Amino acid sequence: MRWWALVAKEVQQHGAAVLGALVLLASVQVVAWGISLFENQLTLMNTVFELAVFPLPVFVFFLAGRLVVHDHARGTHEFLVALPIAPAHRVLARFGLGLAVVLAAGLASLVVTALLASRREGLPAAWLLQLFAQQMLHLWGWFGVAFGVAHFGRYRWLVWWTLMVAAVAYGTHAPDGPPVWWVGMMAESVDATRLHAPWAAVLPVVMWGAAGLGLSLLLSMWRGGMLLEDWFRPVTAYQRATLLGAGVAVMIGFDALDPLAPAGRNTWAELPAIPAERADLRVAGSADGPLGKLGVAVAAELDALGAEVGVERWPPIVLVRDRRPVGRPPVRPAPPDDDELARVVRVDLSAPHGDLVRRVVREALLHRLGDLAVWDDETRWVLDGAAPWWVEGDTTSLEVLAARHEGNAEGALSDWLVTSADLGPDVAPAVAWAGLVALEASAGRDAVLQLLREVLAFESATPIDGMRLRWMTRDGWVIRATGAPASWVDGWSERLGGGADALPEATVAAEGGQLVARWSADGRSPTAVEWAVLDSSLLRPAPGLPTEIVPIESSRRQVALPGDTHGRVVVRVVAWDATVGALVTGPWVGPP
Amino acid sequence: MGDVLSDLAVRTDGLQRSFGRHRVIRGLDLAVPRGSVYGFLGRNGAGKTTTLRMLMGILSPDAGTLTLGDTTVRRTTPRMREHVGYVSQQQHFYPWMRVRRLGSFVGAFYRRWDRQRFADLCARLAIDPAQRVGELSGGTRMKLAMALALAHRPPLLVLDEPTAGVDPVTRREILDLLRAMVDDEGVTVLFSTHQIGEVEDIGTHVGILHDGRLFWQGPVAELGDRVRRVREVPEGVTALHADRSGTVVWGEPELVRTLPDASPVSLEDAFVAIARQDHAP
Repeated sequence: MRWWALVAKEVQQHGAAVLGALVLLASVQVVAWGISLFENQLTLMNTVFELAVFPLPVFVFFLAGRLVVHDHARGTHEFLVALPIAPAHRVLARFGLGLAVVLAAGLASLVVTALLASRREGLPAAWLLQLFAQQMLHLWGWFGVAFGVAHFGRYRWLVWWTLMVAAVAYGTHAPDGPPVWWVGMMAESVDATRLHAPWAAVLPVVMWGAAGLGLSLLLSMWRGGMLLEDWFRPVTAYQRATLLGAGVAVMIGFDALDPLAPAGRNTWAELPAIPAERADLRVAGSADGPLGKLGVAVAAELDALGAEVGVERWPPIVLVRDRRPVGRPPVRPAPPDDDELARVVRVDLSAPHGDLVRRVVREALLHRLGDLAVWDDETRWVLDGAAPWWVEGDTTSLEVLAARHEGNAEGALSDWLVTSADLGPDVAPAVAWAGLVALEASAGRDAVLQLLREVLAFESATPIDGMRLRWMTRDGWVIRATGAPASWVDGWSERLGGGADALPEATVAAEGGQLVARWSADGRSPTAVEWAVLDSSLLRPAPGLPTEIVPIESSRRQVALPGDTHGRVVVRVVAWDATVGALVTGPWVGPP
Repeated sequence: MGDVLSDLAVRTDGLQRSFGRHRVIRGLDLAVPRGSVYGFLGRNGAGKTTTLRMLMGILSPDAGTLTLGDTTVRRTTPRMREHVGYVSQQQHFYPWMRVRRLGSFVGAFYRRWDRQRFADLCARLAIDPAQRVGELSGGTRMKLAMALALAHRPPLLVLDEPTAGVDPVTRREILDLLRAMVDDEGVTVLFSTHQIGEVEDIGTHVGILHDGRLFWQGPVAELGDRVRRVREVPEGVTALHADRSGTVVWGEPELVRTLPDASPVSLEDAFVAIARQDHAP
């Protein structure tokens, strides 16, 4: 009776405002669905994350604040405390109601999105269950913290500020540190979550939520709630000034405790630079550490290459240490930032050193030409093959990988972007390398260097550069630029499809309204399945378009694909190749 | 609150309370006899409201104990509040609630809540149960507070200036209601006021709060026997306050009654003299 009376009062008191906020929240969700469908994103379930990362916390913040602060602000708290209600009952009724509303909102977002998504993509029950657990824990943490902080009365903004500054400071000091905040359940993207469930964040999230509730109870009961009486009194001008000063002090304090992070450390230009003549390499970490050593090796290669081909200054590259998700290559460019001139390259240092050097040099070459290189068949193959060709080392694995491609060189040359997309990030550079090796065998080393000079003469992507490049690289430009005989392409073809094992290839079939991908047991154990939902005009993901990689057990021979039966879902298998000691990726395939 | 074990409905021992550096209550020993109508007198800011809020457990005392019935505590618990009807100085009801809804909300927290009694009290005090609380006048709000405080038949009523800011008619209605509760149901009433007339009107006992301490408490009738106005202050009595018409003195009734050239003093004059004194006895 008492509980019900308290809950009913809260519902009546806040119902209209909360309903309004929920309608707003639902509108945001609908807009997120629309954007996701319009952009043809990989999965509609990303909208659950989009809602949970910002709009839902804002709603939680609003709801918790209203539940706690409203009675104090309106003076009705005075009426409540004169009634025979234990402070703990008041707190628990509000907390229970608020949490129920928040969880219901989160659950509705998840369930409705899943229902919509199930019409266009496969949703394994285990994943949905995982998302449910993540969502509920995420909201528990947020609501607990928001509810607890709201009890700080006039100090609540200062507490939020302190938490925010502390979170930023922690992220700066320990970017790879364990998750310690209450946002860990949904801090990653939906793709990353699918690959690695963030169970390590469960404990801190649960603890934060419980701490928020515990703090609320403690403050409400401390000396019969006297502390709250005081903290919720109207703020005087003196107190306001003191709070402002405290906020500034918090910021200064965290900054003073930040000897390892001088101001502006997040600006790439202020990161430790690797000494080099022509290369501009920086590392997010110590220049003496493993990342720095990789940087030194890459800088040496770029300096030497620059001297050969006439590049005075390479564009800046920032190396960032990264834990590679299953199935992804060890060197990946980070999403470009319009404000940055540097290309940020994520490096998994557990991969072989020589392989890493080749891959980072390739990123530097691609960065020099920017978009010009990405979308041009004739220049892209040169850039793809240049790094493996230039960086000396054991080429056995490159030979084996190049032999995985069973097409002819002329086909690859004329349609390199499609070929390289099919071949994947491991085999494509090897095939391109084979082309440069064939050119060197046919016309000499200088011919290859001349080709590189021609390509790298362009420094940045302007429309005029693009037109010049297209004109220059019309049919037969390799022969015109290098003086090589026309037969050099035959030499390239000879290095391809040499009878080595084929690439792991899947077949896709529609079965019972669902797409199923299958592959044979050919000695390679598939590590992951990479899939993408494409616009109907695309046959395979273009560079830069998102794909999703799902780890699979080695014993599996088939997987149900998310997606519909309209031919927009493509898939390829990523398998570990013991011969070359690397992951190899099969061609993209879609339903017949 | 349990069974009656003493003659006192309310007692405080050495009650103290400060706000920051300001000591409001400095060791208060209150004793409210069961069945009495105890007028708690004091100037504005004397600490009356603070004392009553401590009695209700809304404020925590810094020191001292509180006894309600036979239960002595350092702080009044929510369970103890179930046996007290409380009317605060200002009414902070939910303005969006209707009177009937407010009654059912408040009633949910009292095991002895009597819905019919609440309806009867509303009818008697001319409160429309269908009206929103926010639309009620100040006087009607006070009457509503009285109805809410009485609907669960509490043995003790604690009222913080229940007639402050209301018109004479409403004031009369409230006082009549209180008188009826005392006469018919034997309710103990502790009410704060600075209206001396109200104490004379319905009070059986009075306590005068001065400078954070209780200057004196006892039957209303005895207060008049302790105060006289004299031209010259004799030995054995305490001079409270002097003006052109003489000096108001305070002493034991036996002595005060026998003072030569002494004239009686109204309760209001006595209160004013006590309130204006430089030092409490």
